[in-house]
Amino acid sequence: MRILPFLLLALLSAATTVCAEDSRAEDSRADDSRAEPSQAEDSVTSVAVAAFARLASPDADEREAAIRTLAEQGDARLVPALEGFSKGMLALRDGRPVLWASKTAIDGLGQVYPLIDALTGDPLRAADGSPSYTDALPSDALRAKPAERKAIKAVIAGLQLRDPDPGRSAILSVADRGDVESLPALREQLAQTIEGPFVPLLREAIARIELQSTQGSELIAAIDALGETRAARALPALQERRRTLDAADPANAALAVSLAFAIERIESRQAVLRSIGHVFSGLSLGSILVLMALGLSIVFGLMGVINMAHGELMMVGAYASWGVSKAFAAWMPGLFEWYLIAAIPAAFLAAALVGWLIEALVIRHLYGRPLETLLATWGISLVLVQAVRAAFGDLMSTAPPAWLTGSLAITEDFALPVNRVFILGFAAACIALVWLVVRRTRLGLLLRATTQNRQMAAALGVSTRRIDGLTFAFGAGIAGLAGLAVPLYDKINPSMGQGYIVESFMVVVTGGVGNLAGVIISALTLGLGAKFIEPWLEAVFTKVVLLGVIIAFLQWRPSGLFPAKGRLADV
Amino acid sequence: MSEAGASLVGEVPAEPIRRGDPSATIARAAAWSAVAILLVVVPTLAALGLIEPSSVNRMGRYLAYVLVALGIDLIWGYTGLLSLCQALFFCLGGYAIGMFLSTAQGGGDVRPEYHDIPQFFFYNDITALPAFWRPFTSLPVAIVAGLAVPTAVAALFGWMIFRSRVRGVYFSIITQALAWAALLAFTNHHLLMGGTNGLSNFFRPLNNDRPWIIGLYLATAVAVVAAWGFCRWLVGTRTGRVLIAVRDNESRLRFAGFQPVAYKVFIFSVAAFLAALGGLLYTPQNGVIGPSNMSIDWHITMVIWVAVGGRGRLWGAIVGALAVNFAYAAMTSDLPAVWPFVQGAMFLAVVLFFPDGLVGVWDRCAALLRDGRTTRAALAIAPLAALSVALAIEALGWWPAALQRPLPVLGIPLKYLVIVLGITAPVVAGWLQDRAVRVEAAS
Repeated sequence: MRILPFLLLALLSAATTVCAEDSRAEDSRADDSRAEPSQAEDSVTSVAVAAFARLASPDADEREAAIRTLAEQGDARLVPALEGFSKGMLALRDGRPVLWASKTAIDGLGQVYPLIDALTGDPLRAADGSPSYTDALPSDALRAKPAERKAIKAVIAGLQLRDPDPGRSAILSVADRGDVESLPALREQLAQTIEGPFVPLLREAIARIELQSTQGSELIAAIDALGETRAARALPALQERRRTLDAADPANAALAVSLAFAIERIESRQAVLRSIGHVFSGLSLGSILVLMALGLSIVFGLMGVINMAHGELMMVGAYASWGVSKAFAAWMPGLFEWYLIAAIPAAFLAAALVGWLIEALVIRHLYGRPLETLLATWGISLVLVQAVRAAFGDLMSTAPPAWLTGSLAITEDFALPVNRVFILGFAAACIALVWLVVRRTRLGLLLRATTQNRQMAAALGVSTRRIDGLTFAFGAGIAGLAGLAVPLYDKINPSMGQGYIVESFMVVVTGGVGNLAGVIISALTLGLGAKFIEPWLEAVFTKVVLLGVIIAFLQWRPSGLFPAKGRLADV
Repeated sequence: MSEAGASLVGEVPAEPIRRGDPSATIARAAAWSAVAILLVVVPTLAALGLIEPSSVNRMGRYLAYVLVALGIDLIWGYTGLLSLCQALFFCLGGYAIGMFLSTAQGGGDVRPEYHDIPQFFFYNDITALPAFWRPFTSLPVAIVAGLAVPTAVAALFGWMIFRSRVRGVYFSIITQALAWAALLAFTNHHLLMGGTNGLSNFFRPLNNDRPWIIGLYLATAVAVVAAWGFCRWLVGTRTGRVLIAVRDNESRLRFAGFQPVAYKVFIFSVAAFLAALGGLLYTPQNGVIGPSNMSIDWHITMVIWVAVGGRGRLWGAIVGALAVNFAYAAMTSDLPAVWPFVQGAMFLAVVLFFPDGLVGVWDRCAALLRDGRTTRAALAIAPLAALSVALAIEALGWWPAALQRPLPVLGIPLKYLVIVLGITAPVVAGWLQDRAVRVEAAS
C-alpha cells in the first residue's frame, strides 16, 4: 500500500506537459545519476549549473531570467538548490552550486554543516575523497532578494508536483494556491489513476482550482465534486464563494443551491468526525477516572473509608513507572521501547505496598470513624507528597516509547493519538482485571461477603482484617495503574494526585458506593460530558458545570445511580 | 457512625461548672486575661512600639482565621458535619472587600494608563469597571455583600444538601466538590476576579502603616471576642442542645419531632457567616486575596486547626487556630522543607492519639484538680503552658537571638529544642509519678 503514492506520483511526473517527452527519460537518468554520481551530466544539470551561475549576477533582470530558466526545467531535483538559494545556504564552488546542509554532529568536529552538491545531493569530497564539512556559513552565499523569494516559492511548489517524494502535500499545495497552470497535469494524472487514495485527493484538487477559475455549469460541477469529496479543506473557499455571491441575481440560483448543498455535506461530515473525536477523547479522559475511582469505590464500599491519599497512590504509580523508564534508559537502552511492560507490575506493586502500609499502620485503627479517616489520610497524603518532592524534586517527564507517539490515521482527515488509544485499551484491561478479581476469585468472594455483612462474614470464619488489608492494597494498586498511564500524556509532579481526587470522589458518589458498574458508567459519562461541553465553555468552566450537574443529580438520587442496599446503606 | 462519633468528640458539660471548682476559677481567669491581652495589652504594646508592626499584622490575620475556626467548631464540633468548604466562604468575604479595596474609591493602586481601574482588567481588554463591580465601589455595600452572599450561598446549598438527607462523609465530599468547582471558577480570568493572582494592589497603608495595622488588628480582635461570646451564647441555648443532638443521634432527634434540616441549614449559614467575616477582616491585612486562599488543602487545614485545639469546645477552636498558624509561621521560616511532614504528622497524631486535642489535655488537668491532686495537675498542664508561652513569644516576635541560633545538627534553631523539652519533660515527669502511685497502690 505504501508504494501506491510513489507509483502515482511517478505517473504524475510522467504525464507533465511542460517537458512532456523527455521527462520520463530524464527521470530514469536522474535515478541513475543518484546511483552513480560519476555519471556524465545530463542536459538539465548543465543548464541548471549555468542558471545558478547567472544568479550570482547583481543584475535583477538577469537573475529573473535565471529563475525562469530553472522553472522551465521542470525537474524536482532542483528543489533543494532553490530552497538553499531562498535561505542563503547556497554558494558557488568551482562554478557549481554547493549547498550547506543542516547542521549535524560529526565526531571530532562538533556541530558542522556538511557540504553537498546542490544538484546531485552527493557530499562534496575533498582531495582524499572524504566528505567536506565547515563550521561557518558561506560568506559569498547566493541569496534571494526578498522580492524574489515569492517567485522562488512558486517555482518550488510547481517543481514539487513532479517530485515523487512529498506526494500528497505537493497536490495539496497546488490546490491551495489555486494554480490554474497545473490543471492539465492534474487532469491527466486523474485519467491515468484508476483507484487508490489519490483519486479523491486529485478530484478535490482539480475541483478546488476550478472553483477559483471557472464559471457557469463547470463551476457548479466543481462545487458538486467538492461536496462529493466532503473535504474540510475546501470549506473556506466555498464559504467565501457563498458570502460574495449575489443571491438576488436569479442567474445565481442554481449556483447558490449547489453551494449550500456542498457546504452542508462537508459540514455534516465534519460534525460527525468531531463527535467521534469527542467521544474518543471523552472515553479516554473517563478511563483514567475509572481507574482512579474503581479503587476508591472498592475501599469505600468495603470499609466505609474515605481515602484522601488515593491520589498520592496514583502518584506513587506514576513515579514507579518513571523510575522503570529511567532504569531501562540507563541499563537496557536497547529494550527501552518495551519498558511499559515492566512498568505495569512495578506501578501496581509499588502503590499496593504503600496502600497496604497505610492500611496496616493507620486506617486499621480508625474503622467506623470515616471523618477521622479522611483527616488522617489527608495527613498521609501531605507526607507522601513532601517525601517524593524531597526525593525526586518537582515536575518530571519521561519520553514515552516511540510506538506510543504519533497518531493513528483512521481516514484521510481523521486521526487518533496513539497514546490515548493505548490508555483506553489499558483501562479496559484493568477493568476486566478488577471484574475478574472481584467476581471470579476467592479473594473477590470474601471481599463481597465482607462488604455485604461484615459480622456475618466474620462469624463464618472470614478473616475480615486480612481481607481489609488485601482489598486496600488491591485498590491502591489499581490507582497505581492509573498513575502509570499519566506520564504517557502529561508531566508528573508530586502533587498530581490532588487534581484527580475530588473528581474521583464525585464519580464514586454519583455511581453509587461500592458499585463497579455505577463507577464505570458515571466516570465515562463525566468524561464524555466534559468533552461535549468543552467546545462551548472553557475547560475550567466545564468542570464547574459538571460538578453543578452532579450536585443537582444527587438531589434527585442521593445515593447515586445504583444505591447500596442493606447495611451498607447506613454507613 | 453516630455512636462512634459521639465517643470522639469532647463531651460538652451538661450543667454549668460548680462555683467552688478550682479548674473553673482558672478557666475563667484565663478567659478574661485572654480577652484583656487581645483587646488592651497587645494594642498598647504595639502603640508603644514594643511589638513590630509586622507581628501585629500577623496576629490580626491569624485572629481572622480564628473566626473561621469558630464556625468550623460550630458545624463540626457541635453539629458533627464536617464541612470542607469553609475557606470558600472565607474567600467570598475576602473577595468582596478586596473588590472595594482594588477600586479607585477604595484607594486601590489604579493608574491612568489602566483607565483608572484595577490593573488585571488589562488582560481582559476591559477599559471600564464591569457592571457587577460597580456596587463594590461603596464600602458599606462591599461589607454587606461580603457577609450576605456567603451566608446565602451556604443557606441555599445547605438546604439542597440537607433536604436530600446527604450525611456524614457524603456531605464532606459534596462540600469539597463545591469548593473545587469554586476554585476552578475563580482561577479563570474570565470571571473578571483577577484569575490566578486574585485581587491585590490595595490601599497601601493598610498593611504598612502602624495606625492602620493596629486599627485593623483591634477590629479583628473585637470581632473575635464578639463572635466567641455569640457562639457561647448560641451553644448554651436550646438550639445549641438540638445541634449536639444532631451530632449524637440524628434519627432519634427526628423521631422526637424535630426537623434537623432547619437546624443544620441554620448552623451551616452561621459558620459561613463567621468564615466570611474572617475573610472580610483578613484581606485588608493580608494585602491580597486569591484562589490560593481556597485551595483544596486549605479547607482541610482549617479543619485541622479545630481538631488540634479540640472539637466541641469553643476555646479549643481559638487556641487550635492560633497554635497551628504560629507553628506554621515559625517553621516555614526556619525549616520550610520540614513543615509538610510536621503538618502531616499533626493530622495523624490528632486523629490517632489525641482525638480531643488540646482541650483534652486541659480536661484531664481539670479532673485532677477536682480530685485535689494539685501536683499531678500542674504536671499535666505544664506542656500546655509551655506551648502557650512559646506561642506568645512567637506571636510577639520576642524570641531572644540566642535561641534563634541554629544548632549544629540539621540547622534546627535552639528554640525548638527548648519547646520540645518544655513539653516532654512534664509529660515524662507525670508518667513517672503515675507509675510511682500505681506501684504504691499495688504494694
